[in-house]
Amino acid sequence: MSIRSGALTIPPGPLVRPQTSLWRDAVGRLARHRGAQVGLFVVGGLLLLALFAEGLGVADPNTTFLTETLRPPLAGGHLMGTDDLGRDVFTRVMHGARTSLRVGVVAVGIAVASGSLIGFTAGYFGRWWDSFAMRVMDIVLSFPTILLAIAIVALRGPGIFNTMLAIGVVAIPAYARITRASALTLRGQEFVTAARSVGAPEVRILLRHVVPNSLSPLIVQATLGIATAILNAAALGFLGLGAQPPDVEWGAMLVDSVRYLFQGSWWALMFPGFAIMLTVIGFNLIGDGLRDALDVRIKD
Amino acid sequence: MPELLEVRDLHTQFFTRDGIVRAVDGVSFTLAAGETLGIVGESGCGKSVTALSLMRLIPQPPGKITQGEILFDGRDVLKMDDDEVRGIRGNAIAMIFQDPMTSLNPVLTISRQVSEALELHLKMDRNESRKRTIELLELVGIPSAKSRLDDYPHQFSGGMRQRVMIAMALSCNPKLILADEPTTALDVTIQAQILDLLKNLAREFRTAFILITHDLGVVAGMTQRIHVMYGGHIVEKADTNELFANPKHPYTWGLLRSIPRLDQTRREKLRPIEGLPPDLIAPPPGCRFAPRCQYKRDICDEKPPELVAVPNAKADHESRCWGTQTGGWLTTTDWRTDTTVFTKVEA
Repeated sequence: MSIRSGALTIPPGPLVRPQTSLWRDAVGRLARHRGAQVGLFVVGGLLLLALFAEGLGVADPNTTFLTETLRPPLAGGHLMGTDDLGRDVFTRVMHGARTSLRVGVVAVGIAVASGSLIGFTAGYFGRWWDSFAMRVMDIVLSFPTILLAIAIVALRGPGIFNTMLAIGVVAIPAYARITRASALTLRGQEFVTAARSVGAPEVRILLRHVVPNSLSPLIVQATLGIATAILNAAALGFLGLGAQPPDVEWGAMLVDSVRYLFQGSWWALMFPGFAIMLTVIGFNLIGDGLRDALDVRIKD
Repeated sequence: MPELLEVRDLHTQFFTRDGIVRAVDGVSFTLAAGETLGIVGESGCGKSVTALSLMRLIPQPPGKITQGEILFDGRDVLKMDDDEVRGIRGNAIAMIFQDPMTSLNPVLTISRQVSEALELHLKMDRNESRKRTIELLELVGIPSAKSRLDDYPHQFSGGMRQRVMIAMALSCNPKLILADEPTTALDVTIQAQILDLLKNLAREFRTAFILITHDLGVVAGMTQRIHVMYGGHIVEKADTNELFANPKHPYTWGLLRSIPRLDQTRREKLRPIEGLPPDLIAPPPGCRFAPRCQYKRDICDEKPPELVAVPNAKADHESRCWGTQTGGWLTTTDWRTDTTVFTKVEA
C-alpha cells in the first residue's frame, strides 16, 4: 500500500478533544445504548402513530360501522378488526396513544413541577419547611396510589384533565424525595460554599448550582414516571373513572371489550393491551438507558 | 494606618449531639491593607473555621459565631445584614478553597463561574463579563484562555482549576483574599507555581491575603507574618523571619522539627509531635498543648496561659506558653539542639 501524499497532514486547529458538554456526551451515550435504542424506536413509532392517527386510520375513532361489529383483524379493511360497536380498533389504538402520551407527559409535568419545587426548597433550605413538606409527602405516600387517584377523580369528577391531575398529584412524593435528596447532598458541596463566597444569593445558588446538578436523576425518574402514569391512566380508564367518551383511552377500550373476550373476539382487548405494554416497556427502556447515559461515574 | 481587618476575640462553635465543639475559641488578630499573613496549624485546629467565619460562611446550624467582632474596613461583619455580607463576599473579600476538584461546579462552564462575581458585584452584562473573564484567565496563566472559556471543569487539570479559582477570587479586585490550603490537593511542582502566582498577583494588586496551611514550609516565603494555631487558639504570633529564627512555643518547635531538612544527616529521624490534637468539646483545662508537650510542668495542666509578648524578642512576637514567658523555664532552651527524650504523657 502506498502512502498517499497529504495523508499525514495535521488538521488545522488545536490538537485537543473537541469540546463537549455533559449533555451532548449523554445524548451520544444514549444513542449507543442498546436498550434505549429499542425504547426510542417503540416510543418514536407510537408518537408517529399518535401524530398521524387521522391519516392512517378511519377519520373518526368513534365512527361505528354497525354492520361490521366484532370483525376479526384484517377483515373488511380493519387492520386490527372492530369492536362490539363496529369501531375500528386500529384507529382507536392510535387515538388512544395520543391520549396516553398526553396523559403521561402532562401528569409527569405536574408531578415534576410541584414535586421538585417542594423537594428542592425542602432539601436546600431545610428547617421547619423540610419537616413539614416531607411529612405531607409521607402522608400522600401512605395511600395506595390508585386509591388516592380514585379519590381525587371521585372528588372532581371523571374526565381526561382530572385523570392527569390525579395521576400527577399521586406521583409528587417521588419527585419531591429525589430532588430533596439531591439538594441535601449538594448543599454541603464545596462549590456551593464557593458560590456563596462570591456573594451569590441563596435562590441563585439553588437555581444555578443545585438544580442543574440534580437533573440527571430527575430526568431518569420522569421518564420512568411516564410509564407509570400511562399504566395508572389505563387503570383509571378501566375502572370507568378516566377519560370519558368521546375521548379514546386504552384502559376504557379494555373494559369495553373484556366481556366479548369469551365469545372469541380477542382483538378488541389484546391490541390496546399490547399498546399499553409496549409503551410502558418503551419508556422503561429509555429510562434505563438515560440512567446509564447520565451517570458520569461510568462515563466511557 | 487603619487596619483592614481586625478580629477581636472570635468564638465559633458547633453544636453537635456530643456537645459544643469550640472550634475557634477566642482568636484575635489584625491585618493591614496589602499585608500577608499565614495561619498555620494541623487539621482540626480551627484555621479553616476562622477563615469561613470571616465571611460568615459557617453552616448554621450546626455552627455559630457566638462571640467576638470582625471589623473589616471599620465595620463589624457580624452585625451586617445578609445583603451587606453578600455585598462583601467575592467583592471585597474573596476566598480560594482547598480542593479545586470540588470547588468548581461540574455542570457549568468556566466562563459562567468566573463571571458570577462580575455579574453580581460589578453588574456586568454577559459580553463584558466574558471579556473580563478572558483577561482574568490570561492573568492567572491559562494558555489559550479564549478558547477554553466554554470548557467544563472536568476538562482542566487540578493546577489549572486552581488557577481558575484564583481568577474567580481576583475578579472583583478584592482587598483581602482568604486562601484555605490552596495547594494541599496539588502536586508539589504545581504547588510552587500556584504559590508563586498567588504571591505575585497579590503584590501586583496590593491585595492583602491570609494563607491558611498546615505546612510551615509553604508559608515560609509567602507571608510577612505567621500565626500558629492550636486547639482553637492562636499559640504564637510573629514575623515570618522571627518565627523561623526564634520560635517561642513548644508546638511551633514540634512543627519545625517535623519538616524534613535537606541538610539533615541520614541518621537523623524526623521527630513528629506525639499524641493527638485536643478534643475541642472538652479541651484540657490548662494549656491545650500540655498533654503533648515534653516540657510541661504542673502549672500547664492547671491554668491556661495567655498570649503575651515574648521576652527579649522582636516586637509583636507573642506566645501562649508558661515556659517561654518572662520567668519561664524554657526561655533559654534551643529547640534545635534540645534532645530531651519524649516523656510519654497519658492523654
